[in-house]
Amino acid sequence: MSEDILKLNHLTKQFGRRKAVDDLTLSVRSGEIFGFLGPNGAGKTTTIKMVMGFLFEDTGHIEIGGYDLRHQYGKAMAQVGGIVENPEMYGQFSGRQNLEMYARLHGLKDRRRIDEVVRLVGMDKRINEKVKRYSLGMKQRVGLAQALVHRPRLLILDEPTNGLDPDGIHQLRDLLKNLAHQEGVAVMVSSHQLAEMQMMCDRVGIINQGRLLDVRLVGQAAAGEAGGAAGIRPYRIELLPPEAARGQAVPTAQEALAALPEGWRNLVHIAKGQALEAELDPQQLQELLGMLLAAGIPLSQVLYSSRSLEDLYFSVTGGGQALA
Amino acid sequence: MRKYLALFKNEWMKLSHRALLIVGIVALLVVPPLVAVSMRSSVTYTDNSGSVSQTPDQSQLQELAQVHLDELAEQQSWYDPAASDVYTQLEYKANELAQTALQSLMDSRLDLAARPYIQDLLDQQARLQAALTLAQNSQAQGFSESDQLSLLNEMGGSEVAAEQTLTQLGQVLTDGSFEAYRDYLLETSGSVVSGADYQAALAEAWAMVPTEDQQAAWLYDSSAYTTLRSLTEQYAAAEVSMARGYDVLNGTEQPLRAQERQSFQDLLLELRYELKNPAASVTELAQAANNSDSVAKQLNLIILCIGILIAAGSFVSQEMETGSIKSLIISPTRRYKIYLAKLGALLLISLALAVFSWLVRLISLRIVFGPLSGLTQVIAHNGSLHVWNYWQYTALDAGLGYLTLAVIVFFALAVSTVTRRTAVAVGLTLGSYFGLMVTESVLANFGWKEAFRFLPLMNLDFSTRLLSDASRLMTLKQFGSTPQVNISVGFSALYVLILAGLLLWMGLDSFCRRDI
Ligand SMILES: Nc1ncnc2c1ncn2[C@@H]1O[C@H](COP(=O)(O)OP(=O)(O)OP(=O)(O)O)[C@@H](O)[C@H]1O
Ligand SMILES: [Mg+2]
Repeated sequence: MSEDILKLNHLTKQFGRRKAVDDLTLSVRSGEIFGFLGPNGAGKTTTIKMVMGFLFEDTGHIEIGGYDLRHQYGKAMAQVGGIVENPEMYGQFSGRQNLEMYARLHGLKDRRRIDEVVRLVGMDKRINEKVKRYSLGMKQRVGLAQALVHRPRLLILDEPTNGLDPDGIHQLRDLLKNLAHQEGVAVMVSSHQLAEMQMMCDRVGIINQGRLLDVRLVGQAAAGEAGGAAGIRPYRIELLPPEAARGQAVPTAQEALAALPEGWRNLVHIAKGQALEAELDPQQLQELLGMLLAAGIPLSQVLYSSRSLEDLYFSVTGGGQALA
Repeated sequence: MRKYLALFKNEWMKLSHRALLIVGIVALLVVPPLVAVSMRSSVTYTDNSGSVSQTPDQSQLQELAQVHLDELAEQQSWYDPAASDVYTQLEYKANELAQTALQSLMDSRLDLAARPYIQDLLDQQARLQAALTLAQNSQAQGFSESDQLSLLNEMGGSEVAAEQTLTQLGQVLTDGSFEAYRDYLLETSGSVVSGADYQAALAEAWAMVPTEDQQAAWLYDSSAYTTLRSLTEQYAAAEVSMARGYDVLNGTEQPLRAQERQSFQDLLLELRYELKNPAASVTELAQAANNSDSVAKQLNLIILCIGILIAAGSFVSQEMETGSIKSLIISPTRRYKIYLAKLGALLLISLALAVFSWLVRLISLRIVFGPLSGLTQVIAHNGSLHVWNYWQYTALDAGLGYLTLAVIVFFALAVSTVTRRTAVAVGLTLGSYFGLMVTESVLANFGWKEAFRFLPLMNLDFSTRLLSDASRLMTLKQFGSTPQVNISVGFSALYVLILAGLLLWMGLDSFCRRDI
């Protein structure tokens, strides 16, 4: 049911001799949040700018909602909403005036829609103030409202959490999830905030030096895929380390294993650093934890131990290198 | 089309939100009345209705004569009666004599004493008499040789010559009529062009002027007869040029070209009308109103040009610099439409401002100078004569002047788009505007006519060329600074069209095809 809303085909963009985007092919589907990850200067903004009509691609094609960007520009762009880098608006006008001006360009006359998006981004109290008096986060919020006002099928946000407070980030996450999962909008978010991306995205693409290196499912989606219908995933259960026990004797991993019933000992393995590892479904995880606690074994944390996004990111981008 | 309107509305909002606009409007609003008031205050004689149509009554005559008397008295206080140098003594003496003569004329014939040309004659007479007296007493005064020479010079060469002129002056003053004065002028004043045909043409020109009993009012106006004099001289020069087949004011005897002949013919048509109907347009008030409006027009045009240059020169670059262009680019509109919307909004706002400026000019003129009937404009073009109301004339003039603004908009917007930097764009546009003005006058001084044809401001100046073709020709020659412009209107139209097209293409190309 989910179609490709954004299709990039062998996109290349060169600035002088530097290839900012190099033969990039990817697609973003309706109903998903696609994370666009990469170090500074990787080519994220360049890609997004090509999609939004700021830059002209050297080679390749861009298709939005089935329309070719170069040949059916109006129709293609009517499907897109977004923010590129910082949201910049007309400082001499109020937030609402800015929204009205933008909505007018989309042939939108409905004032209620503007009120609606303003409420959605939590700006209803100060929308009538001049934009030049807004803080960065407030501009982000109005920028988001502007990106949403014409109900785009493709929403592209370049580092949207930039400048948002924790509340704002949380709301944004909920908002994007709602838009994607309930309303079927295709959302593309660029960022280098790995933890944020892991919580927010369904799929991430990692780009470095203009090349797309890997595309992976993450979060719920990854879990669903790895465990199939049963939902079996690898977990790592760490015991309370001795130094944290304030002098009391704590059981070792061997003792903890020994405390489990016979049948469980084949499922669970001892891992380095006072920890147990096991591949379990959620039901089994609950049972195991219950048993360990009942046996009086103190735990420090339970981890979902697949390779984290961070591992993936650093292995793919060859982390720790200087900028290209 | 709907989308285009939406774009246009946005651009209009941005323009009308600028502080610059307020400053511009205030400037356009303030300049014309200020100029008008200051020019009006220098006009001494008008009747109550604000225009000269009636012969002044007794008290007005008294006042008119008194004004000159007071002037003389004030001037006399500048000179020290005890000074020994010949100039101071001459001035002092002449002034004293002029006052006495004016005073006695006021007692005997007040209506004559109130006429500026009579006052002029009295001054001339007094000066001659003073020079004569001083020359006769030069031994006693101990004047040097060069002092005596100066006195002789003042007398027109010799005592005999002075006596002769005094006799003539005495006769004219006794007669007192304007016709007598005219004849005296024709006889005595040295002419610009030599030749009997010129003198005949001059007489012919004067003969067209209504006689005193036909139209007396302007006799009391200080600028009327000087204006009439220069009109008659222009007429004679044009007439003689046509007859001789070359331009008599030009120095060289190059045969007239067909277009120049036409210009002279048109000029003669205009002059004939003005000489026959001098009452309104030659008065000091009308001249002051005319001057005031042309100064206000120039100032307002400069304000408009600078304002538009700044507004258009920053219209794209500022959006690029602040990044607000993003919301335009993200919208589903093609870039050329964005550019055209900006251009359209700028053109419309400059039109609105031009109309506003025109209205302010007219209204302040009407309020300060009264009815504008004296400012009737006479324009001959290709052999036909048009007599226009002042508002009609200025409307046409403002319309043609708007062309300049429009091309300036094309230019500044293109520069703004290509440079993408407000500071650079505004500097560049203002620089080239003033640079062009200077270049044109420098080229004019070198008289390099061929290059002159291709200068943009010259070609843009439709208003001066269409509306005062012939008289411009004359004034230019009299000042001798600007070469005659032999550009046909068709050439200019084509030139301006190509220029605007080129600028449009430059701006569009840069706006639509470059990365942002
Ligand atoms: N206008 C430009 N002219 C020349 N080079 C450019 C231009 N814009 C971007 N680049 C170069 O292209 C490369 C990609 O830049 P881009 O802005 O796409 O990176 P990014 O992934 O968005 O980085 P960041 O995370 O820092 O925002 C960089 O090397 C950058 O220097
Ligand atoms: Mg970026």
